[in-house]
Amino acid sequence: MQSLLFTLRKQWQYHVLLIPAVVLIFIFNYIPLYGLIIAFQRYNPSMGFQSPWVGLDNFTRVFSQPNFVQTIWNTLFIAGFQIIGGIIVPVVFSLLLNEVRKVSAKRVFQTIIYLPYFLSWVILAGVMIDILSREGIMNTFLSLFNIGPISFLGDPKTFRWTMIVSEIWKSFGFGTVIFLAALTSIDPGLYESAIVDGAKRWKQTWYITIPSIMPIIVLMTILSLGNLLNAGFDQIYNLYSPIVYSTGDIIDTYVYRLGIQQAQYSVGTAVGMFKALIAAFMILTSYYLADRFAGYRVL
Amino acid sequence: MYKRVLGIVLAIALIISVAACSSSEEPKDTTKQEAEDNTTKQGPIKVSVGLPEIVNAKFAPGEDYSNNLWTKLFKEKFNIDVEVDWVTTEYDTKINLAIASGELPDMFTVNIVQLNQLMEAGMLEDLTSSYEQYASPSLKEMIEPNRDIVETAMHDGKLMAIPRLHYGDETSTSFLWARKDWLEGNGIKEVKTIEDFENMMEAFKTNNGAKFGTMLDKTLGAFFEMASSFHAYPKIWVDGPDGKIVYGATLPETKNALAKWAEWYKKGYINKDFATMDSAAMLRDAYNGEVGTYAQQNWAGWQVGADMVKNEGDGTYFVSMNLPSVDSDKILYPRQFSNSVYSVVRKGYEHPEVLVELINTYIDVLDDSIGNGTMTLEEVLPFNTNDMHHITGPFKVEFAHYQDIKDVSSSIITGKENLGSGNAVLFYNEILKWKNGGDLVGLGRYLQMGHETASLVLGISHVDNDQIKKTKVWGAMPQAMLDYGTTLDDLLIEGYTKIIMGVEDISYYDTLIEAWRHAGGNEVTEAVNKMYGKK
Repeated sequence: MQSLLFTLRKQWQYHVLLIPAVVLIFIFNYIPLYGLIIAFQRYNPSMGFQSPWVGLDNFTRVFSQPNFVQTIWNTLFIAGFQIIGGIIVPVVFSLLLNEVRKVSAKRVFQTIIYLPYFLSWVILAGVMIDILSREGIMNTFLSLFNIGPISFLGDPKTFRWTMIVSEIWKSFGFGTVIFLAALTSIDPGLYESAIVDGAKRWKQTWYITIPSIMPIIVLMTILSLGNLLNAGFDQIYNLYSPIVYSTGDIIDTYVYRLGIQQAQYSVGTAVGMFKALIAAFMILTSYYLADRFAGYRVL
Repeated sequence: MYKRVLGIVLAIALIISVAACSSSEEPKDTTKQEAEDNTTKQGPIKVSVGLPEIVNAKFAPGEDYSNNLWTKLFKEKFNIDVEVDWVTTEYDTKINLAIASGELPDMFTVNIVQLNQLMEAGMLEDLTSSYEQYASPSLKEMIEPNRDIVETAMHDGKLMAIPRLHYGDETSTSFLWARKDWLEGNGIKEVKTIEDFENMMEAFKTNNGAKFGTMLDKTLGAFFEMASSFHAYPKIWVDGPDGKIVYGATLPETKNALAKWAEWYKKGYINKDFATMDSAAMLRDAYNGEVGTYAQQNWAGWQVGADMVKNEGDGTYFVSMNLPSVDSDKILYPRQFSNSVYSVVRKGYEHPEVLVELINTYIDVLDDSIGNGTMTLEEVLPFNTNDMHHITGPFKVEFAHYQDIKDVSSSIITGKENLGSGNAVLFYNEILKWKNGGDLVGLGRYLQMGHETASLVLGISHVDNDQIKKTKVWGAMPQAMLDYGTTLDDLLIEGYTKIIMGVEDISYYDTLIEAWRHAGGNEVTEAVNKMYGKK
């Protein structure tokens, strides 16, 4: 207690600075939590929060849908690989880019791989459908090697891999920029002493670079684990079709068809709450694991 | 330096929070003022509305939703000031939010789900007396024949909404559309049986270099439009063999239709990519001259009319024919319940009659004024072009064009002008633009009502021959149906797609229907029978 007061007296300016952010988060992130009661009501907009209570009815309704379990699995599969790829690919790329000596070339590469990140899936989907069609560029190219034609978007087996790869391609530029920034903060003195000790490039990377950016990698992983049940509504919704529902239908797209189109708010809220709880659990677990195995903590 | 940056950041944070507070308070003040204005002054009547954004609307320079030819007319005629609270592309969502927060405009439109919610919550003004007193003969003439629709707008014997109505049964039927030059080249006049249809697809492939037989996209639109040919009604609720209401998809006719389509896919009549193609991608095959026919509704001419001519040259547009039949029996066309929009007045608004008066005006301008000589064609045209007839929100009805179609088509075909309404004059002149000047603007309309087998001309004959089969769910959907959203239909479409592509054998259909029943089909069927079945 004594020490808390002491630190407060010493650091009160910083705490004052925090106030606007705390207030905003309270208003926009905590007060709306009240709306979660919709998940336990049969919500009718004209009655507002006075709508009749139905207990866990909305949850049982969603979970008793025969396809819902399949969509959870699909979501985990797609999102899981997107997360794993979304860490590995940017790390590898930033390491490679870091070795590029010419600054201008480095900048050009960085910009090019970052570019798709800013495009909307609505636009990209139109392009992808064209490129990946039976007579599109991709299959024409593959036919040179006597492969295919592959139905990238129309075959339940390939569809989810198409989703995984294209999402990684679209967003790895963002991660690369973050890891590149982390790389620049490594003390050059470490490399110098490593060279004196006779370490070659590979050893330098393995024993200096990767351990140095490990905290950032762990942080990025923790942050993205919260998205384990978000496999990307925009992407899937714009690219899927009935034929790939069996592997491509994710929680968000399913719930969209189940209720949001008909303004069935309760069901939507119930699923949103379910996802948030899982995400919170995932973040707590991964935070604990990160602390345990990588010695990483925020506080 | 550090401190100065901090100072700036703090200052910005303060400004933002202050600005947020003050801006959220502003609208409250103005609404108070308005309320006072209304009660203290005997000035113009103010009515606030919320509008859906009409993407293709082109306003005259300086005009917008709150200031345009309609608002000026309303002001001039009744001294009514229409004030637009908001315009949005997400209309349904916005209305749901407005309902939840209780901040409704004075007049607005709702869908049937929202209507029922509002009626139950007592949030709507009773329109019974306003309608009785103020509705013009024209409006009554349009509303009265549609008792079944009016029923859906009644609550405890009171009229709570003015239904927007619909274009009429003749606009709901399906047709076989085929490329005109290919039809003529092969000497095909009519396609009577499914076999004829197959021969036609074959002829297009061998004689005209078509790559595919028929168009189809991932929604299976063409399959559903053509289901009538097999006497299948996969999307509506019909009387089952045991007298109970059943979903059309569960009857064996749908299976037969699927078997045929699977056969066509196997023969290469359908683009192998169809399962991932949206309608734009599907139409591209037509624009590239790779396919020359598909089943579609009456407006297909707007899809494969002008764009065909632009891409493939003169005479390549599609024309409509009656659907072929699997046997020689009469084809029936499924009809969904079709009043999707209702105009309503917020409970407590003092002048509910304004809604009726302005709808009267809408009808008067667009349908009556040319006939009774109060306005000329040139004066009416601006109200009916550039989507200006869609921007009035709640002050709007949909015209049934049954008589117009008859008038326009006979005038065009016989050359003797005999037009009863303003709408008919507009259509007629549109078609003349194409017939006389080759202006592509008029082609879509020409294909709808400009020649003897034009789609709506055939549609009229479908109505006259009693070929309309109405769904049994005529009106509000039971809650169980709403609860499942589109998931039940999605299940079927996924299964149909697999069957058509040959991923699953046709016997899979029975498994599919069983899965559908299990997934909730049974529950919905029960709810439908409870609500609409014979008591």
